[in-house]
Amino acid sequence: MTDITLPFAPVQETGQASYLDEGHTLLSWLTTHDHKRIAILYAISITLAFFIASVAIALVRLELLEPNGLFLSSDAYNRLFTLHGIVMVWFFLVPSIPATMGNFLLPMMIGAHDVAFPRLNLLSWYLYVIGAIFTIYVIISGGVDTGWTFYPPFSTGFANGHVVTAAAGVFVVGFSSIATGVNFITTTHMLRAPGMTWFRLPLFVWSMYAVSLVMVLATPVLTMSLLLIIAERAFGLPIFDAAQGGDPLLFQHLFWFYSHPAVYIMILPAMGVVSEIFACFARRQVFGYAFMVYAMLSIAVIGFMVWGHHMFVAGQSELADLVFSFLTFIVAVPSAIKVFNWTATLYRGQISFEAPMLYALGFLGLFTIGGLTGLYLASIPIDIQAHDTYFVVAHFHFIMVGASVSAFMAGIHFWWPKVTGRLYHEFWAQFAAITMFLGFNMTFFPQFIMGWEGMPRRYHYYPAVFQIWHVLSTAGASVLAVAYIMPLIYLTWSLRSGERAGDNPWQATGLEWQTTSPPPKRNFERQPVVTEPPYMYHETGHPRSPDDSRPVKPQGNAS
Amino acid sequence: MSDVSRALQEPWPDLAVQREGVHFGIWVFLASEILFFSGLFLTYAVYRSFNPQAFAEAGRHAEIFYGTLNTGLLLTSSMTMAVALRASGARSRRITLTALALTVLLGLGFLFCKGLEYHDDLSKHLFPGPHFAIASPPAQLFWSLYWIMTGIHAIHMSGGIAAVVTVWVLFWRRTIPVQNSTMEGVAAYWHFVDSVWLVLYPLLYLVGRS
Amino acid sequence: MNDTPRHSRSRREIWLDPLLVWLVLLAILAASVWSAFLPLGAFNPTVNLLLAALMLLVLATFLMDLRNAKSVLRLVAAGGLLWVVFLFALTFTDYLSRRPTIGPAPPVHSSILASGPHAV
Repeated sequence: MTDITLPFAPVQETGQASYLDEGHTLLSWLTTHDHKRIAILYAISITLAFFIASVAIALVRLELLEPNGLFLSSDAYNRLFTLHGIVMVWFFLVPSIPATMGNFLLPMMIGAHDVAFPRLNLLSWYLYVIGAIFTIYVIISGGVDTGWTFYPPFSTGFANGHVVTAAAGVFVVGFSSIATGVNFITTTHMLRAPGMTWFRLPLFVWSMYAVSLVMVLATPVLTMSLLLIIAERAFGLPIFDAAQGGDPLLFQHLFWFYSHPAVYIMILPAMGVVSEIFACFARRQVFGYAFMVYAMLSIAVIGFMVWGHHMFVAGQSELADLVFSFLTFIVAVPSAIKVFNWTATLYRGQISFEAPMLYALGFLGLFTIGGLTGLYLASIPIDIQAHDTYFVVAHFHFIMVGASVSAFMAGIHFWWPKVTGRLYHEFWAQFAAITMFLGFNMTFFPQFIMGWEGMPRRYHYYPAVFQIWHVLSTAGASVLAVAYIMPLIYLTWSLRSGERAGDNPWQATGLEWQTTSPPPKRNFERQPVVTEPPYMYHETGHPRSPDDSRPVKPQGNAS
Repeated sequence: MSDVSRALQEPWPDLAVQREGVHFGIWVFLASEILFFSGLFLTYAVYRSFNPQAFAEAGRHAEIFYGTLNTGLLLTSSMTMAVALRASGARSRRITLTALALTVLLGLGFLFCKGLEYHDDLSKHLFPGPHFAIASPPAQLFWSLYWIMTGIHAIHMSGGIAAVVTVWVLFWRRTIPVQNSTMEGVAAYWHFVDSVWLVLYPLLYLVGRS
Repeated sequence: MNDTPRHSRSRREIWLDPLLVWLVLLAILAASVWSAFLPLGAFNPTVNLLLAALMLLVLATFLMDLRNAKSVLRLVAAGGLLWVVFLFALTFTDYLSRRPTIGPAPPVHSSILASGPHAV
């Protein structure tokens, strides 16, 4: 194997080797058992996936500038939005925070040397890559046009694309999720440092635990639903075929049993990240820590009981409609509790507006709007009007992009010094954060309006009356694209030329900040002992003190 | 003790915690496998509740002799696997290896009988399609589920056999000692695959017999 | 490494308990097969599934050692089963309350929902 020295291996000035110094060859990265290196492998992969899915939807948004299309055939249009959905959901959002930040930080935050099953961790990345190869094959050979939801009978009997291969790719990447979930749950139960009781865990760790529960319990049902699609399409075994007595709606029950909890897979880690950031940048303890924990666990559990709200107009019985609608209203309550608690955390804090905080604040507002519009959709009469319109598209993008991606960016910036040992350029990061917020709103807010006016989703041609909203949305998307490209540039620049970071540039309290930046291979020089609850910032907030005159109490020490 | 040092893996602090951790992790994985098969059981339950007569008629064509024999083979293999696990805990290498070998043989016997049964089913035209043997359409649903359920179970069995063979070789070559946590995982998985069959058996073989 | 077997008492522990459990399981299997041929009508599937559940319980408790396992493990097993209950209960809430699609249409006096299932 060639001895490629990767360009950003920093030389430690202290003489201590960091995890980046343990082998500089490509092979050392591809055969690593180190959770930190696996996190970086994932980060590179999901960034590529994000850009592929973004290019797909950029083409769609350009096409929608004109009511009768510009340069795409309807078939190509269908395949592009399907690609966008499949890649964004399964190859970007589901792994995003858990596989990158979860992998890197979970062991460190609990004071462990690695996850419980390091080789399983590496396997989970390889499963991701294999699933991605299936999907790349699908892209190259023309794509699939069923929508990311694969509904039969279209997908089993009538679609002309590579349904089986696409389903197989998602099938494989599902096992990556399950492996990560098993690893995180076991790690949290078994490898906490002395003194790290359950209710001293940082909220990010709780969010990883909750998301792992969902990944482990929901993903297998998706796997089965796709297997049944493959069995029907490839082997001719009737399962959902109405002519043989099958029910296409049964697929939707199985599919949404996973796919609704999947959206909680996408939001719970984001909630964990922003909890860490609000506490640090408002210099305050998180308000209502215990309720924050119970809220995340409630979201994880109740989130399994609401899937039928995707099927209100599909032929589900009225009784089931009512039960699912009721439970959907219930599941909003713990999310609302979290929003109140974050707000209370900020109140009377000593807030500073570095990039992570800007992204986290954006999360707070956009998550609230997205969540409230979800409540509209939980109401059956409103859903009958709004189902399959852009209102729904706007709702879930406010959560998935406005909230989850904002939190992802917040986390990337917050922990960048820890992971790389370098500081990013603060001005450009703040500029990108604000640009992102503006671009996002310009892209997706018009979609609420046109959706309510009746613009259907997944339509290639549309009535001219909606054109103004589509143009606004596409214009916003171009601003958003700039805002996403900027971090690529300044973060990459910082790897070579950024100022070197100290152990704890943010003066944060977590265990991960009590070791070097970047950390050594085994995370801590000595076994940490935890002596404090998390977030021992001052009760009413004190600004960060450059001269360390008011030090915060770290959660434990490893020295 | 050199065995302990070979058995202990990163990042576990000691062997007892490692055993417990592996046991725990395997059970979390089994929880996900329960959900995996439940998708199939749900499909079966929905369709059977709507088509009881067609399912009874379709079920009568299932080969109860093979099914019951296979159930017996699997139960026996669970017994030999339990013996292997206990022997490994008692550090009795020879009994562990013998019991594991018997488990593999019983598993292979299961697959062999399944193969014979599949051959019989195919020659009776029990694969859904244009030449399907039974007239009523919902019977095709039963038989689709039969092939999918037994097929996926057989894939899990094959995986289990491969895992047991791998572990047997590792023990035989003394690469890892038998009291390693690996036995916990392998045994739990094997029993789980057996348990799935115990649910499949009445659903596929005891339908419409009275 | 000492791989000669310990004295016979622990040898019995190694194979006797699994053997006894095996005999019990075979007995339940025989009962299940025998009951399938009895004309119990709608109770046949119930009896079969109950006996299967009994076999699972015996296997899990005695062969998989859930009896001696830590409570968190039993919680994991119970959790998996509980989630299956969620799946079945809520799905059957739909299926058991569906109106039949053949037969006279109900009177159109309320919302769109009253006219029965729509195509997607």
